[in-house]
Amino acid sequence: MLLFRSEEHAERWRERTKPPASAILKIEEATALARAWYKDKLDPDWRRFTTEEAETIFDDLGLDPEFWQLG
Amino acid sequence: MPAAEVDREVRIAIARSIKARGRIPTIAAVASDLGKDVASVDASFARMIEGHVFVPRKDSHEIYAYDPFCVGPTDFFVSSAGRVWFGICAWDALGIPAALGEAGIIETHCADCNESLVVEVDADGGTDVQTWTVMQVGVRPRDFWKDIYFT
Repeated sequence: MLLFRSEEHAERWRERTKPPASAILKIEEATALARAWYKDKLDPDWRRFTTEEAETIFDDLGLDPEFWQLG
Repeated sequence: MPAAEVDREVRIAIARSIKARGRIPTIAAVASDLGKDVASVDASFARMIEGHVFVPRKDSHEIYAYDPFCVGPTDFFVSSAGRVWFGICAWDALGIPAALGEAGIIETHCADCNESLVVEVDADGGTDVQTWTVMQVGVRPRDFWKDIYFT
């Protein structure tokens, strides 16, 4: 996962490097995703998300289910 | 003690080391902190690797990234909670302040033009929305662990 100055820069990089897949998130979406994913990581009762829980996080953030589905 | 309880103790010791010392601990350090033998902590690390709790160093059970924290150095510097941290990728770098419950500053560069990028995140996860900065995910999430080092 990489950061780019703008979507145009991300598209240019994608054309050049041809990654296996591609989804572009605005920085505020990426930050919200990172927060949802990691805010409890250092808590004593942390555990990995189930597939359903992870997909709920993606859904709640409005991410494209075609790209983000885990099953 | 059942393996699940050992793993919980070990996981808590890892988290404590990160928060209190700003350091991802080695197997030996966790064993010392918990007063356990190295072999039992090594076995716990192996189970956690199998369970995708952290990314190991190649050919080792030692931690490379207890996501979002990476032993580094990487291209993602994060200043938060009075320390400098490393993220293995943009997603993790953005997650470090969240994991610490603190504000943070992520410093990296544009992967296309190499110009420096700085993203400020507040303690509530808000960010400077005036920026045009974007994050590109180049692997579908269901494939993340097929080759975690590539991801």
